[in-house]
Amino acid sequence: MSAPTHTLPPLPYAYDALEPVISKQIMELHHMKHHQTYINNLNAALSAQVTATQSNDVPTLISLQQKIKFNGGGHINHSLFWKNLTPPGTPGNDLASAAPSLREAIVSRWGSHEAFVKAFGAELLGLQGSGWGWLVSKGGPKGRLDIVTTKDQDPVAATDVPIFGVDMWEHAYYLQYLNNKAGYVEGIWKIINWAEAEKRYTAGVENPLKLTKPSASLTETCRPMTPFAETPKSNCSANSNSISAYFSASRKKSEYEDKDETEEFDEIESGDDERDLSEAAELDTLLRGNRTAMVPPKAPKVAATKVSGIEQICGRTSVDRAFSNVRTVGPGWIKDPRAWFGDKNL
Amino acid sequence: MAALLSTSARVALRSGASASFKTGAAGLTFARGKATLPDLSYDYGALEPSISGKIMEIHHKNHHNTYVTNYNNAIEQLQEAQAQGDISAQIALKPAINFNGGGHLNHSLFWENLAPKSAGGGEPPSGSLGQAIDSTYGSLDEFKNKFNTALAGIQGSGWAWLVKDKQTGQIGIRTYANQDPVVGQYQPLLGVDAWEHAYYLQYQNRKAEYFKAIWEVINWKAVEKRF
Repeated sequence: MSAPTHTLPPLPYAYDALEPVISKQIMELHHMKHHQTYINNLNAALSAQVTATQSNDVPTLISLQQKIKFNGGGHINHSLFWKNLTPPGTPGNDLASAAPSLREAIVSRWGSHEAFVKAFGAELLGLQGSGWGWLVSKGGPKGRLDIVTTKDQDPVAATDVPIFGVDMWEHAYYLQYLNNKAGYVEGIWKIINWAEAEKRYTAGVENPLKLTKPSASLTETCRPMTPFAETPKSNCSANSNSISAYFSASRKKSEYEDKDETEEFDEIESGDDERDLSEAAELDTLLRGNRTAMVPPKAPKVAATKVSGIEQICGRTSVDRAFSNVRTVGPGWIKDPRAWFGDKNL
Repeated sequence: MAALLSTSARVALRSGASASFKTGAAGLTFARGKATLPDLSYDYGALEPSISGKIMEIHHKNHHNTYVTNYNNAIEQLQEAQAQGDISAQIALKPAINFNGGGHLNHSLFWENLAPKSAGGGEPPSGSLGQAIDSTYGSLDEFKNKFNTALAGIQGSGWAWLVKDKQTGQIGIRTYANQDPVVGQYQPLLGVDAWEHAYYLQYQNRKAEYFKAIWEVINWKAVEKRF
């Protein structure tokens, strides 16, 4: 048995598409660094869990639960968040036309759209420390609406449907708004994806997480996960498997030389790890190090791909998967992530 | 309302003669019964390159000041609730007092346990604290490693502290969520702010770099005094 490997879902829009509400720089760091680190740490925790399960190491299993909750929660929350945002001025941002039944439910619950916005904003600004604010449908689709906050990266209760969430970690707004978080909260309404919210309210949430087989073809990885994302013209190189094999081999070698993956992740919990190096830096490290007896097949210029957000993601995903490859042990995949998260809504 | 203000004024006068004075290890300042933002003993830019002047300025003038304002508001409401004998209102204020009072305490201690290099920042501890660190952790470097590991392990916002156990006199490293202050059994000696606002403008997601750089501006003399 091996642990499932999670990969970074592509954004359904370009990094600068949410400007001026959220800057390109924030989106890049938030998606490529913070979200990626939750995924890396989740994968490491799941791998460690498999090992601990096989050896009946109960103390380790217990100690892993909080890491899985925090990093799994970070992965779930961000995956939901990207999809519940849309560029300003897009049809999805118009509540009345994009979310008729949700709008009706909001008005019946809070009296008016404005009253809801005010109540939601007050909850967001009342958060102490890091966390999220959510509009949820209690007990399943078309349930009673409620505003809830979750601390750090706790996901919403498994029984509730997260209609949309707003990230109130400082990393979500600080580079642009500094201590003016009210400005961020005010702006977020210009980019809420009410079409996605309506879908979640009426039909529940699709699983935001996707498990990717290490041997999956590159085109499969590059396929957008959201119905409204454009299909990227894949400029990803076709030799992903050989790249995979190369990184797999060199990383395995490095694992003997260096400390193991688990130890590394143990030291950093949060979704921001300097060792979550950019792909360029990571490639650079690998290429410069004396561990590179092999020559990579046409070194992937991933970081240099600057065509669009989606294409960039394609590039990095292939490399990520090359790395995630070595984090898995042996064959076998958990097909249903709900088995891991016990959440029928996710 | 007038009665409340005079109560707080009396409290202030009992605690000291002047309208503005220092009290306790945290160096908290009050004016007419209200907590006030303490001045820094160095310029905003004096901790560069470890912490940028812009971070210091926003952190002190905006973030810390907001904790002070909100703490004073909460205390005013508390006094009102006390005057009315409203127990549930007093209990309901607890999170706001803990969060904003904690934010005020933590930052006040933090500014004091930092110093520019020119004023001794980064100079290793000596005397009994130095010995306690060596005997507990083996060496100052080993202590820093352990402290940085604790900082990196904080999930969400929070602080890491070198504390002294009041019962045993032993030192130890403890992390606290959000603005939870070091109170009760433990006495705060040295704190490092691991909130993103403490480093993000300069280090973004590379927080381990911030944790590494901050030792260059730790004021061990201030920590020794607390020990």
